Amino acid sequence: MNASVRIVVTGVGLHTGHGDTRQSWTALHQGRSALTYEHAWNLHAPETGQEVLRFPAAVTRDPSPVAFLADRKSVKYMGPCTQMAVLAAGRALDDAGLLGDGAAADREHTALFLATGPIAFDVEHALSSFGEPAAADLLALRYEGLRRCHPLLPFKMLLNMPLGLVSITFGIKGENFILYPGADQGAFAIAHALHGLRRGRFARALVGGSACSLGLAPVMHLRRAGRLASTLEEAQPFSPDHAAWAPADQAAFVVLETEAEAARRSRPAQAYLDDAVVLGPGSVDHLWQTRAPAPAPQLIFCTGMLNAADVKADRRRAARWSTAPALASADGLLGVAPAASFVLGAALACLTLRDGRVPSAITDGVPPARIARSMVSFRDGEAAALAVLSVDSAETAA
Amino acid sequence: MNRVVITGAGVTSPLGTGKPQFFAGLREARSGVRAIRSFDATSFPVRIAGEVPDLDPGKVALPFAQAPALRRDPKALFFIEAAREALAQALGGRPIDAPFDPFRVGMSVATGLEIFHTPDLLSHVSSGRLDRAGLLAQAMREPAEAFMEIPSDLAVTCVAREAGLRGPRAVNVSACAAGSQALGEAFCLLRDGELDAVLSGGFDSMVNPIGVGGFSLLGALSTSNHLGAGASRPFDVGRDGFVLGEGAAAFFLETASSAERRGARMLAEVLGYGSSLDAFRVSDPDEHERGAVAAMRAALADAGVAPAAVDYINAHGTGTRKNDPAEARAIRAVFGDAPPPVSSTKSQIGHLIGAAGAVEAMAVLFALAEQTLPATINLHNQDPECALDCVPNRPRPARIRVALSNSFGFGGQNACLVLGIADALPT
Repeated sequence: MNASVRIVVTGVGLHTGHGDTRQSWTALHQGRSALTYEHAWNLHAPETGQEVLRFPAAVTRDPSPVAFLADRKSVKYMGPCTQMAVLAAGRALDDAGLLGDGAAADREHTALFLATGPIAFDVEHALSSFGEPAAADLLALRYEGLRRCHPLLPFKMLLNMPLGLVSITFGIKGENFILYPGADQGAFAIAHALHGLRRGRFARALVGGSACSLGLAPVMHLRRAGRLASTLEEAQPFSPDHAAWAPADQAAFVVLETEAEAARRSRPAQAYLDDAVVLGPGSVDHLWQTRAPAPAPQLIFCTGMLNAADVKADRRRAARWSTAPALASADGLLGVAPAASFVLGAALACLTLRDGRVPSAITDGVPPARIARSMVSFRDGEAAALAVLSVDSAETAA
Repeated sequence: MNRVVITGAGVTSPLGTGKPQFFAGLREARSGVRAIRSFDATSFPVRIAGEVPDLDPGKVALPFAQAPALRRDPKALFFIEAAREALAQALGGRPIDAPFDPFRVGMSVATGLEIFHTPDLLSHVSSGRLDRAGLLAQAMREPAEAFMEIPSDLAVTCVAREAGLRGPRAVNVSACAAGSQALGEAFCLLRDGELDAVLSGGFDSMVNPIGVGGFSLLGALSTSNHLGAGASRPFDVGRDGFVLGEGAAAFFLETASSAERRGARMLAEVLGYGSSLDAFRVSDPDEHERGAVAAMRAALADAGVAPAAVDYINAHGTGTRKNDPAEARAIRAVFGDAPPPVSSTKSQIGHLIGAAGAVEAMAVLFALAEQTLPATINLHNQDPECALDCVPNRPRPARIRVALSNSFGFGGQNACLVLGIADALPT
């Protein structure tokens, strides 16, 4: 890999419970939470009406991507995960100057790498496409064939539809893949884009994650795995009570380019992407030992931290530098959407570097006065990942 | 840049489990398509598929906590078996950390949809409504991953843990292009020196009510149930859609220098990879085949191979009305008026969706190993719009040094691989 080829972020696009990129960033600075108990997934026992499950979650508003669609009717092919992907991808491309007058940029050499999941094909969403009563129609499918299934069901089943429809909507034709289902897959997508750009395999990459965690199967999975927070306090990453996640529907995208390509287009670098790496089971300590950046970052964006022990472990790892970086996490205000979470962390790190300051509401303690170098971190039992972003090119190039 | 070779391979397919059975099936031009046995399909318009005939879920050793879930998801078992065969061939029973740094051995694997165990769901349907609270309550009583849904990546996790692979894992869900993409991305990681070895491949089964139902809704499947083994008819004038298949293929890829150092047998070399997107319409391929042409040209350029040097093409060749002539036109656009022999092994095994590219790469491995072109069976009346040498009905001996494998996915994803015998290209 030719590490002398600098890779820059030229666009960021979000769709969170707060709305678009600007709305989300403003809300984080104001310390506003997107988490609410008011959603469709609190369960009541049918016989007694008694509440049997109540949890905080971030529900997306206005996920319709029609503003980006040349053919508004194509929205009928899109499940909610695809709609959020198109929205966030469009915002990232717009931010990078690649919509409108910039749309003529070389789409054949633009790569598209996505992560989605878990369980983008939500059972209940599929059931709803069968008509009413939904469950009876599933019975019909299982035992009586296809008499009443909706013909667009397959488009909402297939896991690659977010990628296909982002490609179609924005005319992207280059190297591509879509991965599933965890945060490490978003990290893999970023790392793969970084290596491909440095190798010259493509000139630009749109990298994103889109995930719907609010659905019957994801909620059930999170609850069963002990990862579903029952209170807002449990979902706060830097609270001693931190014990689980508040699920979210979320999408985040970044546009990566070589520094030379961005300069050719006269686009400012919002941040440099200096490193990105992901490893497998039981690798977090090895990863930090071998790839933790030097000099130290001022800030570490921690994504998908499961509990207070995770936070404690990251604090311990951060103590490796003489000046320990501050920790930040938006999980407590935006919730967690696994496949989107690492890309979201990278996008927020980029916005932090662009502004030079981090929202104090998402930091562990006092935020650093000046942030020129930031790290994004993820770890669970199956994977560990990090990415390093900076704005001070002379420092990081050295 | 590193050269990348395959030193281990394993397969589970409608032609049988293991390379010997798969290779024998190709040699004998057998079909693996028959009446669906895994569920009652009598009410479905499609009642045939290429099911794995010889893998007893109860006999697959599963030393994992998730064993109950794995036994309910056939595709997971297919991959575990294929991966074990590939690893055994590559490592000869030695642990991964003997020859390799396990943090530098990754996985790049393709798969398909999450499995939802519909009987679990249906047990909570009453009076036409789904009792979500009851469903959750039961889920909480069951062991994790043992109730209702089986994560698509579960088999990948289990194989990584069993084999001690601690490098990065990518679980590719790019539909019909996923298998080739997974191998292609593994190739890139090794060629560029990011890793030292990668276990790659793909596994899938859509032979279930949701899969058969969904693809039937698209009108993509052959409804020639009466033809049974003769229903999958790529390039034939009578073709009426594809036949679903299931299975897995796994490959152990490493750098040529690593294989030489270990004295490992090189089964084949991965020479190049190209991928592209149609960016056309969600329901149709690009009518001018630009995406397919771009992917083939990219793979050849990546390999540094001229079209004239390609001895065989394993086509995507689904057997749908639109796909086959479109692919024929794309091949002619890249290879001119005298393209190399082209065959579709989907005629024998059906369309394995997420695993298609991986299992078809195994067919290319057969071609390279036995210097034999796999046949396109059931080809009795070739469509003039598919004017290619399609190796009809019988395999054919040939000199094969370099081969191309095509995968073109629903949604417009295209991926092509160039494979060769280990010394096909000069160093």
